[in-house]
Amino acid sequence: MSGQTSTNQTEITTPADREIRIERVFEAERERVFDAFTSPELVPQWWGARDDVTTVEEMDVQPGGRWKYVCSGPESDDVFSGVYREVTPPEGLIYTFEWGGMPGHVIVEHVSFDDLGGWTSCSRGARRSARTQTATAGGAPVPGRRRARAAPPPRPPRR
Amino acid sequence: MKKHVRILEKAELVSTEKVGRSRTCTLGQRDLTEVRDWVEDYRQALEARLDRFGELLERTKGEQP
Repeated sequence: MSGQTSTNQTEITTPADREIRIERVFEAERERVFDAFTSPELVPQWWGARDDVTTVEEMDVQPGGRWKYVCSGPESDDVFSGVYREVTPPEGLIYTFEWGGMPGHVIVEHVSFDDLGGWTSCSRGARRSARTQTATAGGAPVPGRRRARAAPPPRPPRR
Repeated sequence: MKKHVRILEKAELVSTEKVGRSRTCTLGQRDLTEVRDWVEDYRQALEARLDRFGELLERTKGEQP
């Protein structure tokens, strides 16, 4: 556990019907937090579960740039990808997020880092807009009509 | 109202019985512990992942970004 480096208190809220927000405070300057989140060398060191091996295949951290991580766990390989929409160092970034197991279901993640003076509050919000088309470069997901009898989605990987 | 109850019934969260013109609901077969466990699993996985993020920040302390 990283008792010294964070409050170990993750706050999970649902500010809107299709939105989930995760917040946690870390003992680190905001620039370092932004760097850990956006550097291809550092992402494999924290992305996914402890036993997973994450490979950064694409990471073009600028508006319109793509990202793609392959996360290899004991049971399966999972692909996560998306397109950066806004990149504002060190305040935060907005990008689309899609798990390969549910193609076409694109969520938009808003990540913001708040400077608390040596500590940084990290807030990561994910918003899902019904069924969406596959993420196109920088394109907004197309809101779809909620299907009355949608099949239950496959269980996403735990990461 | 009927429609809402039917959804709950289908999900086995309630079962209903019609007596005369009224319908009474009782808690169904499926209990919510399954749902609670599912959510709790995810919460723990999320904490673990954020712990890793914190550990990385600890390791790279003092390094310039």
